[in-house]
Amino acid sequence: MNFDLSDEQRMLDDSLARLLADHADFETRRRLSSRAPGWSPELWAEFARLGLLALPFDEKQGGIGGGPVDTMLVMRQLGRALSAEPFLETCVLAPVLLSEDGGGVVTALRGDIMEGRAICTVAARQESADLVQAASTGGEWRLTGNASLVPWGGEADWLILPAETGKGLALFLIEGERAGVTRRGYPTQDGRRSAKITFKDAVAQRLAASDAGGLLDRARATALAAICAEAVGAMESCLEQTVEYLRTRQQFGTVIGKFQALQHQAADMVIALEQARSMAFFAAMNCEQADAALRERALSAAKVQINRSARSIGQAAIQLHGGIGMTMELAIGHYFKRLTMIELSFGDLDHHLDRLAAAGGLAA
Amino acid sequence: MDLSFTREEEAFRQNVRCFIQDNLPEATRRHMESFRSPTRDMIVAWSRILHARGWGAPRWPAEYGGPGWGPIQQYIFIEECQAAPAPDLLSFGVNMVGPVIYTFGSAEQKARYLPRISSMEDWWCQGFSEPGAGSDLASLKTRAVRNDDGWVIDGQKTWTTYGQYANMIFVLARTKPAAKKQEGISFFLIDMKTPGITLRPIQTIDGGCEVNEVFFDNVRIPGDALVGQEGKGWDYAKFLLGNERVGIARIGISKGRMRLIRDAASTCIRDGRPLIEHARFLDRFIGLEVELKALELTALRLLAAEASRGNSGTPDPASSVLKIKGAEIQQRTSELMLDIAGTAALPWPQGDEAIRALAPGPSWADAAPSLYFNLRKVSIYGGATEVQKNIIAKLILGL
Repeated sequence: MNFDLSDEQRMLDDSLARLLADHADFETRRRLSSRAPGWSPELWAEFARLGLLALPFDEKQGGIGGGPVDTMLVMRQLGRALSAEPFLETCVLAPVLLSEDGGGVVTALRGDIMEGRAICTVAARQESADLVQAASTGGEWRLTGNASLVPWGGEADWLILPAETGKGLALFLIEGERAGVTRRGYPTQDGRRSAKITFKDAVAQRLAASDAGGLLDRARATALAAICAEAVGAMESCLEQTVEYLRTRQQFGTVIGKFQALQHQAADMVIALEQARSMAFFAAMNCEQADAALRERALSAAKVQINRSARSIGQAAIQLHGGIGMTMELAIGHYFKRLTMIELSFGDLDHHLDRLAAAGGLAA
Repeated sequence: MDLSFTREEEAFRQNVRCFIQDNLPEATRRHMESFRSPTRDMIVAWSRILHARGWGAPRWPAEYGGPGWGPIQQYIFIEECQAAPAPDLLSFGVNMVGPVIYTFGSAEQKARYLPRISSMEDWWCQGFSEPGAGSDLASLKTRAVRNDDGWVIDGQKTWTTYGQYANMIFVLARTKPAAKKQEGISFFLIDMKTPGITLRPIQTIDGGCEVNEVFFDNVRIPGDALVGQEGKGWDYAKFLLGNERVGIARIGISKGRMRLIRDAASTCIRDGRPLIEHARFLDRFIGLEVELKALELTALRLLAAEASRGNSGTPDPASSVLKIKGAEIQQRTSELMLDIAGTAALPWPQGDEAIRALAPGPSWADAAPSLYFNLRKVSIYGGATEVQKNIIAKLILGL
């Protein structure tokens, strides 16, 4: 057992940190989030140059063949910088869902993603009862129905979604600008964008997948581990910003970091962060586990800890900043909002506790 | 990065597990499984079994009689012992004074004491806390005054765990009253049979008498009882306490206890169905399982960092995180046991089997409240939770 990074990983980590420091400061971030597309195409191009966008794709498919640890490193840095670039969708979820399809369209799309020419999002939040319906007529598939809360759904070039074929679930790929697709984008609490997408007889391509449901579960597992790492990055930054504030803010004639009541709250943040960090590792260790029951149990345990830590760290960060922490002018509130939305994404606390309870606990 | 145990590490674990299975006395295992503290004889017997195998001081370097294991192996070993569950080795000897002696002691002290610690010929106890020096340990008042070739000790120590079994005690005493608080303290190794030392047991709220007051009245000790340099005792004490913080999280014990709790809650019928199926109980159980898993990985991260950095001798302040969280989790396991015992926790047999036979519920029911009351200590000793938070604030956050 060792937690050391390889030389390549350390290089990736360092260069990404530098890149984000240069391109993604808080003011830039605020300006970007005020209007569509909501992220920085320049930064995305830099990601491509760094090889980040090829990282999760298989080497046989022209990618770099990175694993969950690499994804964890990238997502942690994106979390630290409060990046809103659609990496999770385009480079974590999509690569898994596209992985079994070797057709011409998908091969071209993979190339476009790796080169930074295409953003691909995934509509993975539908309850099974509300799934888009897919009908096959004259050799082509047509989609009808609604997909809601699709991240970057209004802006993405491509969209992957599960749909009901009448003979079970299948995965479909469709261009954002296709006839029969209506997209209505809107801002979300965490400075990002989502969309409601309506399909009406929209022609789509069915993705090759031996078991679409299983593939979707695997993609969600990979994404859940990734979002745990993003949360850890955001929590680290919350703690750093808070400690910096405690060191500089003066009241009662001294810096407030001298007060033990506040020191102990900051120490509690350290503990919550270390526990979260450990479970982000646990998620990365288990997200590609072949035994689905073990995998889901481990990921639920990770998300339970991430959610608890995110809530306590986020709330403490605002409390320790006092009034200024309540304003949109300071970064800390934006981090808190992002952490809160992460809590609700990919299953909230009760959902994951329920899943663990149904499995009889973590060690059952 | 490799987040799983290597094949060698798994083989090592298997080796340790087999040894424990074959050698841990059955009566000891059963006693431990009913949530009771091991007796003196159980601790000594098990320590000697491990010593005979060469594992009497698992954290020591080979040159001092340890097996020369790295931190990950040490962790696996302790985890397996605690999960068995086997009695812990006596911490005051192998984990506390032993490393102080081999790091700061004279060649003669090393030769005299180290073999007797790992073989459990000596039972060591700790003379740190005083009635007026708890969390503020540096305000201790016990004095050591030079006399001919030796020293004379006067004062009082308290919270001395297992003092009643000990033949040796390590003591912090003030050798320079005029010096600044931390600077006039020295570290001594003292034979408990020295005239002038008396012991008074203290009964704690769980009913046990683990801890004692130790009185020093004109106690004459030889000059070679001093460890290292005069006036450096505070540094040695910090080294000792920092070393202990990883082990003090008792992760293996909590893991073993969670297994027993799961079994007990599966057979305990409450309102017509097993307690483990009650949503509120299950929520608490699962919540604790998750925190324990996280703590285990936190400990492994710390150990792996130590392994690749090399043990610098100074403890990582992150070990305070382990101490705080480990204490909290131990306490919460005992709360779950109290939940399982329910009203069967009321009778207080205090070792009387006849009373125990009158009590309803499982055979361990009376041990549950005792453990619950006893474990309130873990967030108080070895640097209270609040002291650990001060350490985190100062040394990690720089506040």
